[in-house]
Amino acid sequence: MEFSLKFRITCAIFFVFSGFWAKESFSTPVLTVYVYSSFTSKWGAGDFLKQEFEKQCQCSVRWVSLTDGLGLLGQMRLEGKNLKADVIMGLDTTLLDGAKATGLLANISHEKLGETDLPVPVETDYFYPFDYGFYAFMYDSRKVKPFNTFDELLEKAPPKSIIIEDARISTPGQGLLFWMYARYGEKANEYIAKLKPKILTVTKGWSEAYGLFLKGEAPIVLSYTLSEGYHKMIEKVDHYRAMFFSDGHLVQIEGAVVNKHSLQYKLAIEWLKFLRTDKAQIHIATRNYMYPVTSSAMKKIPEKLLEVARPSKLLNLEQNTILQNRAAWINNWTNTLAN
Amino acid sequence: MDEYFSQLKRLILLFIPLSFVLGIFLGPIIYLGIAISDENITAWDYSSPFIMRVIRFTFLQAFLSAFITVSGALLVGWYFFRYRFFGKNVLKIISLIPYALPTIVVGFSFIIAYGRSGYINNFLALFGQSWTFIYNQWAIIAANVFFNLGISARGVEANFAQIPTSLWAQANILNFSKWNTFCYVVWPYLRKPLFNYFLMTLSLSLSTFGLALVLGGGPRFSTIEVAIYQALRIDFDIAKAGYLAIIQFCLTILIALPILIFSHQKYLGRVSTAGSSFYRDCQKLPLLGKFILSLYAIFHVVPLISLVWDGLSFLWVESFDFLIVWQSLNKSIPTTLFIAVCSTVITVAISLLISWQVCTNSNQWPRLVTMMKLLNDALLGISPVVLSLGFFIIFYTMSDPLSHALWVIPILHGMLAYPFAIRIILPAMQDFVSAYHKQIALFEFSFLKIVFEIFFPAIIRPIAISGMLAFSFSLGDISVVSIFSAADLETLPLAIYSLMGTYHYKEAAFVTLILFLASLACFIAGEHWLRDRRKECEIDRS
Repeated sequence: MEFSLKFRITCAIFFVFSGFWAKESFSTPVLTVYVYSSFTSKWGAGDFLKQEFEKQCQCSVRWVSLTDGLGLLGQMRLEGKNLKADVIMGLDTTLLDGAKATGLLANISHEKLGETDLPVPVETDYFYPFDYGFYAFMYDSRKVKPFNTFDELLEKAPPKSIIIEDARISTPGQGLLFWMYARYGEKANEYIAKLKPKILTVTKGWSEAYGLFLKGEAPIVLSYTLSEGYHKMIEKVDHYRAMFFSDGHLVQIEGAVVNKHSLQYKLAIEWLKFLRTDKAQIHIATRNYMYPVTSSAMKKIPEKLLEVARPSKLLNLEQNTILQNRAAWINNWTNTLAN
Repeated sequence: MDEYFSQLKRLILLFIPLSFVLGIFLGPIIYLGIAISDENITAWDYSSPFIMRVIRFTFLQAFLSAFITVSGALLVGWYFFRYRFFGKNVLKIISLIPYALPTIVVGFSFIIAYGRSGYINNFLALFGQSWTFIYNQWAIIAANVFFNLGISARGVEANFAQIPTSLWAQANILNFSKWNTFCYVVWPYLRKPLFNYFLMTLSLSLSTFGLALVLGGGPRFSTIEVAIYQALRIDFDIAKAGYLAIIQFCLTILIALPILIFSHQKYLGRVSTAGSSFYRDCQKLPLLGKFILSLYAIFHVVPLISLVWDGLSFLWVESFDFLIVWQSLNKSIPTTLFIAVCSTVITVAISLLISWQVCTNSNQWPRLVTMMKLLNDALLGISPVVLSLGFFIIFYTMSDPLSHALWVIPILHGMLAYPFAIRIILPAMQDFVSAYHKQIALFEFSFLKIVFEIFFPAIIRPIAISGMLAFSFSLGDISVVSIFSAADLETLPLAIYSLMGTYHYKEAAFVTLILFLASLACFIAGEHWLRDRRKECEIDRS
């Protein structure tokens, strides 16, 4: 029996497409995780976590990387109800109320996700902490001496000696803003004005700011205390150090949230549990240069990281206060630095 | 009836590519425009002093950048055209490189060269001096000039070559003063391209984002683009973003319109430039030329050399990790090349298609060419952030944009390079159509013969130049790529950012060097090939 060419081509197309369809239908489930970009690079923590989790879950992890925590929140607002992510990793506590306001977060309080060892209490109904760090000014000890308080920094730092991140568009930039409001309350704006002559430049994000600092453009930069740990552990240099203020530091707690519309809810919860395992926590700590959130992992992180001092006093801001004042504070910050 | 169908066919052939371009460019603007009328807009103050200040500063810096660029390009282009000097070809190639570099790389190259601890300052420190001009508005303007001056100067050089030899000879015989030669010989031919370069620089400077943030020193010298980015990417305040994007768009049209009217001249047909080489490369460089070109070379070469040196200097540092560099290049180079090649093909194909349709139909619709030019100028007012984020939002309502990144990114890159490419291709197409169109219709040549033996040889230079621009633009883009790429898609600029985000600054400096070398290789190969083509043409002619 002879088949026409048309018939043969139609059959071939049908088989090819049915093959694709079958592959799609019977392929392993995919867990889509939104996270900030430095986490997913080969040399960030993401690659290892993905490989380890995929070994145990019979699934595939798909990373989608965005700039930073603020970028993640912006993406959630942008996608709304159609949010493609199952898990969003890298929001911090200051962004949590904003994330809740999207109405996209699943309540995970009923899941047994284990205890955390955090420096400040955190509401965990919707939020699953996986690391934390302390905002700090890093300095080059060959060029300046450290200051012991925020006041001292504002008074004695040389003009144009500090690099900070932009509070309008970057998470650490907002971190500094909240730190100042936590420290000075309603008078913070006056102190931002005091900080202004000390600022060399305001960058888009942490990467640019820290790059300029390492290039020697300014001796002080806004970063985290564990940046010191990186230089000690990897570069074996000790002239880049963190300043510890006796009047307090703001803690940044990063966490994951689950999309309540997710079709992979169970897998998402498995992923959260995995994030708290010791191997995941240690890997996050040594690649992300942040502290683990479990006491068992804390005991196992490299000594060089533990050698870095911890702030003697911590400052905190109510999430509700942040939610109510964020826009006004950012406007104040912008207007003060712009005039 | 046949005439009617033929007109209809022409209309359709013009309409399809044009509507594709307009859909991609104007879709986001229309979407954002509709959002402004939405009732759910925030209580954002549209006329706050800060926003007014941002709008004012954005246009002021863009205007100054464009003015300085065009003035500099006129001088440098003249010296490139008229005089021979040592290192001319190298300087000409280097002139094009900044255009291909990501903004952040240019920002860092400025800082490495002119920063407080940059090479210039380190050198001056030997004499107890220090000097820096960055972290203020002048740094933003200088960086914009750095981006655009070289490419404009190369364009001006080519425009000088189009002035008919007879005009130079007449000016010589009539003993014209330099000023009169400029007014009566140069200006009529350069007026239009100079305004074009002005508009091009202005529109690129209007969308300054990363550079303004790194080099500007803070919100004092913030641009509209930063506010749009904040509104769309962080606050998701579409109304605010729409308001700002439409202001940016309308002001660009307001600037473009008088420029187009003022620089408009009736098409006079193809100009014979035979013998212009007699006036080219014909003299030794005068003292003033040496001074101006030295300044130009220092301004251009120092940041680039600093970039190379910075990239190489870390190779000997103990903690430099070759494995990380290899992993990052291994993944990002194929993707970057794939996207760049596709976007180049898209830019050139659409520019050719539209310019061909416009030029061949300009007899039926005489205003078509002018309309097209105005449209292209208007498209320059839509920034990459607005285009890519607006397109992302629209696309999101239909599908998952991140899953289609590999074809969406080349299209957007291709479209962003299109207004620049068609500016180069359209005049050449006008020349081609006026010279050959009727002859082609008279003789019954095969389609392939027309394309490969008549069309491409006549128009290959503008195609190659616009292709190189599109390619290098795509190579260095970060704004579109960062919005559409999921984590598994990595380009060279993204790799640089990823490395920087994980403390690997030494490795990032090296990858930056690789990106720089890739752009350089692209331009050297392009220049070399074009020179060979020119020689072949000269041999054929003789």
